[in-house]
Amino acid sequence: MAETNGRAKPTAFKLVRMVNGKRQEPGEVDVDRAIDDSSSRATLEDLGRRGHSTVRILDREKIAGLVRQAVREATAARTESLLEDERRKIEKESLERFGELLDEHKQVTSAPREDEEPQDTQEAAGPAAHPPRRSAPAPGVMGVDELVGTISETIRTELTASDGGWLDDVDRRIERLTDGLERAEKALAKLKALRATPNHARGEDAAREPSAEQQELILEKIFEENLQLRGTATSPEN
Amino acid sequence: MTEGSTFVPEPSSYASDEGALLVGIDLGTSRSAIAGVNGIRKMIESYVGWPKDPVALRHVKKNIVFGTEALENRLSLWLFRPLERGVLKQSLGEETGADPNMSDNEAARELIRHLVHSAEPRRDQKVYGVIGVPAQASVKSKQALIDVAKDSMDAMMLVSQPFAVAYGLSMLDGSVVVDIGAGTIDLCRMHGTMPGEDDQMSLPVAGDCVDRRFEELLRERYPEAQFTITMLKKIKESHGFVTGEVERVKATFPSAGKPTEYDVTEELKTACECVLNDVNDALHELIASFDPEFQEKLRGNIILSGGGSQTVGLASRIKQGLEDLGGANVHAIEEPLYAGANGALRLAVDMPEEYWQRLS
Repeated sequence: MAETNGRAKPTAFKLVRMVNGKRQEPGEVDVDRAIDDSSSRATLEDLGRRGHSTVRILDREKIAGLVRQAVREATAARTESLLEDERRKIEKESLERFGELLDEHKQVTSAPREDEEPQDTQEAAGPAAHPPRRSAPAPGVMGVDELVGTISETIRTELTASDGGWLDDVDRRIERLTDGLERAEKALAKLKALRATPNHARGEDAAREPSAEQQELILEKIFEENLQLRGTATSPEN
Repeated sequence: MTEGSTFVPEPSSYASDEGALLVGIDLGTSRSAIAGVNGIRKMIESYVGWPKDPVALRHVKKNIVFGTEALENRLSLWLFRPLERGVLKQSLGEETGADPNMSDNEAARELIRHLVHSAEPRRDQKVYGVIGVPAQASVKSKQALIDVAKDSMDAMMLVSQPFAVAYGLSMLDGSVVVDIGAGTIDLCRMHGTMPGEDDQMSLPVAGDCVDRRFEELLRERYPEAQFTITMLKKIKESHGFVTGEVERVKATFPSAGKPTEYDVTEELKTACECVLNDVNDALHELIASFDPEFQEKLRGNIILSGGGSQTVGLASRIKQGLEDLGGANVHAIEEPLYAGANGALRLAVDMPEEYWQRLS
């Protein structure tokens, strides 16, 4: 597809390849090729010669809407699994659906002319009343490259929004569950660590807790012994 | 985006932003444990390893490895077990190719650091800890321990390990604690005050001795079998027993590379029994040398803790050994592996704040 106004072709978007509306094996596929394969070029003169006095127009918003619809329908069935495989499936199905929608809105089914020079304007969109131009598209008319770029961006945005939402939601749920589990484990460990565990089969003369005074003396003695250790400690390693 | 997150905010901490994190540590020859006042408890095998070369580093993906992971990757590591008989080894690592910066002391330092880190102190939060040491650890051993531990904690205190167990169980009067570890078996009689030197004993025959004895006996009976002491330790920890009818203990070892099943029941029992005489002798001494008016009280509460206390039938065999003194009640406690760390933590919690301030 020819460049328009010096802009580069849209970056290839990772989608299933569509050829004449039929799904191809997964792999990197050009969106522009996908559009090419499901549409055909025609000049306004051709349209006129074939007796088409009016044509169906797909404006930018409509195409974007079709793509959004395709993505929504494809992703609506998703209930679980956010693995990479699922993401690819979503992408695949989105483009399939887009291709089907595009077929439904095809302007003209005619054999492509191989000797035809690439046109940069209203083949895919534009009012039939305007004569073909090789310069920048008329206001309200989208060039093909711009169309492809918009489609790519729309699909990308929709998928990111959908998946991102799901992923965020699942991430939050996992985080909540993990957090709750950690708190429960910590609380249980703390209880175990701090509770007194008297022997379960004590005799009559069972060991007893020290009095507060005894405990104070014990702790003081431990402290003093450790102070003494500091007092005679040597800093270099042995 | 979905709303309605129901995060429960963290409860106000007993170790607040201004307060330190209190921990109790049981630094064992075979396993070390930490219990934090924040509820976190962790235990790891007391092994530390450094990658031998860049290939090993790429394999383990860490500059230093601890615990079970170090054991599992020991062929790639300079492996250290920095404690011996419950205290620091203070010796250099292997001479062949070892980096002189790697030593048992460095390993001990890193082990303690790793343990403290695993208790998840908050950033910039002080850490105050109580560490259990063998009952008769020397001053030199204690000072060496302070030296390696000071980098990881803002203040620390050392206490006798069996005493820490007794304190954690609130059994400070009329009891004898027998803490059976890998490096030492420590005994401490409690009589309502801080135990003195005469109240404590530390026996050098413990779990590691059982492992070595087991290895000796098996090499004698099955010279063709290929095994390591690490493999035998696992068998002992799973099936160790000293009495009673048990199912035959079968172990699979390679023999000339071919996996072969061996019956190790008798050897295992004999090995586990090798500590019984020393424990019984020590108990006799502690009880017999005590105030005669309170000896019966002591015999009535003999507490077994530590990993070795899980040997099947050990309590009843020790009880049998004390029949000539008029009988005894001998019991293994709940959670024997965390008893030391739990008791040390309880001491840390009960210690007045000002003591920590003066030591920090």
